[in-house]
Amino acid sequence: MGFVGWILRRLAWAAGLLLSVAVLNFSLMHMAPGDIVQTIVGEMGGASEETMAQLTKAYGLDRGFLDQLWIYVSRVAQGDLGYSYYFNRPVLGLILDRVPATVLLVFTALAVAIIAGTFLGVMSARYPASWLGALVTITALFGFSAPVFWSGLMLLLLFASVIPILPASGMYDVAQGATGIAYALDVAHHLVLPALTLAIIYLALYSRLARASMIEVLGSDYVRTARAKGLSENKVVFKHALRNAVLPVVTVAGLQFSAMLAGAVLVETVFTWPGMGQLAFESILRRDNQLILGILLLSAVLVIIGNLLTDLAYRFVDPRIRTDG
Amino acid sequence: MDSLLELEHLEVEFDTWDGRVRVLDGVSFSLAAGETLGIVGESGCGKSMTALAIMGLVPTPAGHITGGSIRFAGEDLVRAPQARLRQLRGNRIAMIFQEPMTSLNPVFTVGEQIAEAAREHLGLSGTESRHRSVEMLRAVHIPEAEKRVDEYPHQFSGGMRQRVMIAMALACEPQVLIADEPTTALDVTVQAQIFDLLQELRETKGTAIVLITHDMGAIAEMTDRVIVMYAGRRVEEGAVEDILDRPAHPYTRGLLACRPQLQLGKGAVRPALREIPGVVPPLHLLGRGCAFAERCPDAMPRCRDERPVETVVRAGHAAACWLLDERREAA
Repeated sequence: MGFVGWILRRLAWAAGLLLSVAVLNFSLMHMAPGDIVQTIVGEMGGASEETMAQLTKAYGLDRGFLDQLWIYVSRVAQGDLGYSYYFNRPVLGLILDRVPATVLLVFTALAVAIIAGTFLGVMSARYPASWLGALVTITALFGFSAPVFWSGLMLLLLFASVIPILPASGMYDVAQGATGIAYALDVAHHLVLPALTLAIIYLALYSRLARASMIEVLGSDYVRTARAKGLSENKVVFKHALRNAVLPVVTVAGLQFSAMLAGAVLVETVFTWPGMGQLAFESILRRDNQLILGILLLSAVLVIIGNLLTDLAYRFVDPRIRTDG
Repeated sequence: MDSLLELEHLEVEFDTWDGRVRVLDGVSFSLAAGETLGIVGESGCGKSMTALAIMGLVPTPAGHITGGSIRFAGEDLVRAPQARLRQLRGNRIAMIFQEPMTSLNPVFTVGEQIAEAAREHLGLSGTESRHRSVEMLRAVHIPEAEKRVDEYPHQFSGGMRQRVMIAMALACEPQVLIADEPTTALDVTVQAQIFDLLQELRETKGTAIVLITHDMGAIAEMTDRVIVMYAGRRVEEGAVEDILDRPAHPYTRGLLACRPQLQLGKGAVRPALREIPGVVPPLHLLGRGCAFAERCPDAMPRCRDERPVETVVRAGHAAACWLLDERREAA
């Protein structure tokens, strides 16, 4: 089975998975108490039975559960995720506006966590008795125990208030109205704090993981072979050992991709980063069911993409996985 | 005979929870160009450590070479800087290991792993080193070398992997090849093939071989001279015929007696498997006397108190045992 076959099979699986997710989400939302009508009526400050019945009919809530489910799923299959009553816009457009910000945040944080975490782990494995090893251990313990919203607020306090070098909120400076490279730099400037906050907890975890894995690999027979070949220590560590040591990090990073997406909700709220997390937060507050369902589905898509990327990375790093499609 | 590699009173110590332990205690031997030297002994007697010391790969930070010298073509490797050792490793002196299954890196093609040493030491380019890999795979008789050069270790069998290891070690045509139990992990039929291959390479390339093993059959077949090690010390040295036919040290006699004997025919009695009673003592508990005294069937009071000196039995054959001294005095 070739690479293309593998990808096609994975995509077929993904479609089935998304369908199950859509059904499950819809059923769960249906089971939850309260609906849009109650929220609207609540905001209107009360309404007559008649108006409520009218609204219920208008939103199709008077139909049976299976009927509603069928309508929802068949619409989703056609790419229609429904309409957000609160934002007064189609759900899909609303989410797609926000997806890039979240993807940017999550992937930056992931890249920072993996690269910096692995590097720190490797260095502390190479010099286990040094101050660096101790620093990595302490940072890891600290980073892993501190909750995201707290470390976010502390970083905010430090770099936006005490040493005001980084912007405290938003994604770009509205006043500047910059374009092109200036815009990209502006976004990057705004990205530093949220991405760092989201990365910290994973950076801590990955550095520990990479350290343990590196220590094991450095004691392996093939590293001894590489040394016996007369390679420099850097080649032994960064070529022969690292590629093997990074496997557990890739595995865990893939498994935690969804957790990171969830973490993004908090971080986006703290830093008013205009992503899906913030949208999710608002949609839940407003009981905007269609929007919630849309966000959940899109999150599932992102998680599936994340897992696919993990498997791709795995196949790239470890040739043993390539043969058994 | 000019010696290519010469160890003199090599001492290696390790820091352990029980204090500093001497794992190699005055090991000496010399190896001439093109010669094959066998090192035998039980597990834990310092055979592999001797090999690692020659390669400059004594595990740090616990291990240290604390005395003696290792001369390679006149140059003392004990005092040479790491950079110099790196130039020699895999280039002039190469090593193959016991476990071909784990000694190759799973994430690189075998071709890359062979080519790497050639690029490092011979300064070959990418294409040249790839040609070199194919050539080396052919030399170790791997069929379809052009195709297999791009395969990964997991696509090879144990015997084939050991061939790859040998190809890798010989890529820069070293003058000395250290083979640390190269066949222990392999099937008997494959073992014979690997030994044949080593023989052939020695004859065609003139590589001197240090063969570390506890297989007396391999010693008989492969080596010119043998040293017997026990608890980090050399207890006997001699030409292979002398060691096998006229062993002078009780430990060597014990090792030889442990070989299972094959007998065929209906009436053949199956002799009981012999063993040397006891185990190699923990090195930090070694007394002043002979390290083997506790297990020796012929031990005398003197053996526990005084470390035996080496006695020359005949030309090129010596053993460290008080019995030899007694005999000479008696004669």
